[in-house]
Amino acid sequence: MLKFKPLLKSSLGSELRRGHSAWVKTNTSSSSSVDVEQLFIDDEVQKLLTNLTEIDLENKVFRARRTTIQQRSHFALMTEERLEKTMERMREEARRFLQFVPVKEPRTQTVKVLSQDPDLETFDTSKFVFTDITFDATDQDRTVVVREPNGLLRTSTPEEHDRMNRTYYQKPNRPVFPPSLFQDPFLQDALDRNEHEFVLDWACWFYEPDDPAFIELSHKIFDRINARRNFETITSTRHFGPFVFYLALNENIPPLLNHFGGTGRIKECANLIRLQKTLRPDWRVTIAKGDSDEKIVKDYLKQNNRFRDELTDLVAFLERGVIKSKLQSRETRTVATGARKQATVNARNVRGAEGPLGNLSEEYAVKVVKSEGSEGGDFEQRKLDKTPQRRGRWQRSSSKPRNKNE
Amino acid sequence: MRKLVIPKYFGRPSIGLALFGCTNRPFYHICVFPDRALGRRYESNILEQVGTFDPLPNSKNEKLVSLNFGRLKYWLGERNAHVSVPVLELLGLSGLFPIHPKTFVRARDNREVLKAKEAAAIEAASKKEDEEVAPEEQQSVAAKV
Repeated sequence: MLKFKPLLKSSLGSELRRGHSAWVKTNTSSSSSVDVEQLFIDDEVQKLLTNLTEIDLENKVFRARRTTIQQRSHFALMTEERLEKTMERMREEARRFLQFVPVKEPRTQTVKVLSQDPDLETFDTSKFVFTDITFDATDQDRTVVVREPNGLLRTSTPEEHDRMNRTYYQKPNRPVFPPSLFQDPFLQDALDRNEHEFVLDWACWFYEPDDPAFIELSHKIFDRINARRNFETITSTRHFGPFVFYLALNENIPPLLNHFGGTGRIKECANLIRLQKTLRPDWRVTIAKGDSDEKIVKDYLKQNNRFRDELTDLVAFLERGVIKSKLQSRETRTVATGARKQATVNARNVRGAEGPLGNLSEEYAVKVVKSEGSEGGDFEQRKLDKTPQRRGRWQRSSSKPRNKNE
Repeated sequence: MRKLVIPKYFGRPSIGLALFGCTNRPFYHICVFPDRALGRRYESNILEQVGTFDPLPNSKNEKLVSLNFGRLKYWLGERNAHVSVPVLELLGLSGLFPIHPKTFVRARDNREVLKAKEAAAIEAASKKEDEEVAPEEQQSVAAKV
């Protein structure tokens, strides 16, 4: 979907839009112009953002969710080694899922007048929208022109262009007109239910990343998250990177910093400060090369004494080592996971009722062929009393009558 | 004896609107038809659809036209297709062709109709004012008497 512009063109574009970016809000004390797109794809920034996005496999990335793909949960008995390998594989997959939503400047709203014909005035009462449906044209470079009732022929606005794309090239869950979820009473409803991820995901699918409406909507959601301090709703999703980037670019990190500090994650705090200082370089407050995480955070506190009221949790952690929300978060975590039991089978409980057989363990005798501690010892024994064993589903039917005989 | 030809490759095709709507809902496909010389038997034998035209304005007061410009250029340039007047008007409005004279004529007619309507409205308004003023004058005259 995304097309990378050639470097020359992008640098030229950045010069053209120098002065203000849609991602930098005007009320911040920003003096210089920034090329936000280039900043976001910078290697250093990407590394910091990836580190800040924690990967929560169970509660976030691979949690149960409604999809159209029907899939059963898969249970398997594994050795420790294989479990580790599987978790690593899942983490790799999660990293793919957590690829950031691109941060782009909005497309320009100004239209180009192609021809003006005063003799054509009132040729019709409504506009004519012409869409090029040539096979080769992509969604980005499709020609859409509009003939106004006063005879003006112009290129389309981004809204019209994307609407024509949605009209003539339909995709599931992408209606022609934007769903009312993206407007306010309903948007606020969804955010009250903590469905930030759902709204952002749908917006990401519905809009192009450089659509002005998309950027406006995501900023609105980010601002509300920041105002309500419910960062938990968006952590470990693909929107967390752009969110942190937006905060750091606007020098608005104290709430998030306090959140990290409250949970005692000093490394994340330091990364966040590093991110802000990369995005907003200032020779007076640069980070020295050998600075530890704690020193970075303490330096930041010293330099920004005005935010001390907002950073109470962080200060408490640094001074007294108090982790305020650890207990709370643990409680919420256990509540969230519910009464789901963590089942681990080992040599001790394999015979009992906690093992894989459950209550049936009283009825059936469980024989451990190869114990975890002593390898090979049982194997020899097994060789001695080797009886012709059937495999698969025949095994059970053959073992049942034997049990009865006993 | 009649000679058999493939309509797709024979003669000079024509591009026109084909009505594809239903009752009370017009909707047109912009289609390429085979050569007229093949006779009425081949009239409904559409060679290719190169676009659509929705004559009913949508909720944003827009009439949507889609055109497959790549294929249109083929039929116009390579095959020298004959284009019907409504399609010529659409192509003129889209900026591919010069604007068709009929569009100018319609625009002028619409302007004249609008002007006449405005003039009539102004006249009606002035008449009403006269009527309102006149009885008052009569009343005042009566009071004096």
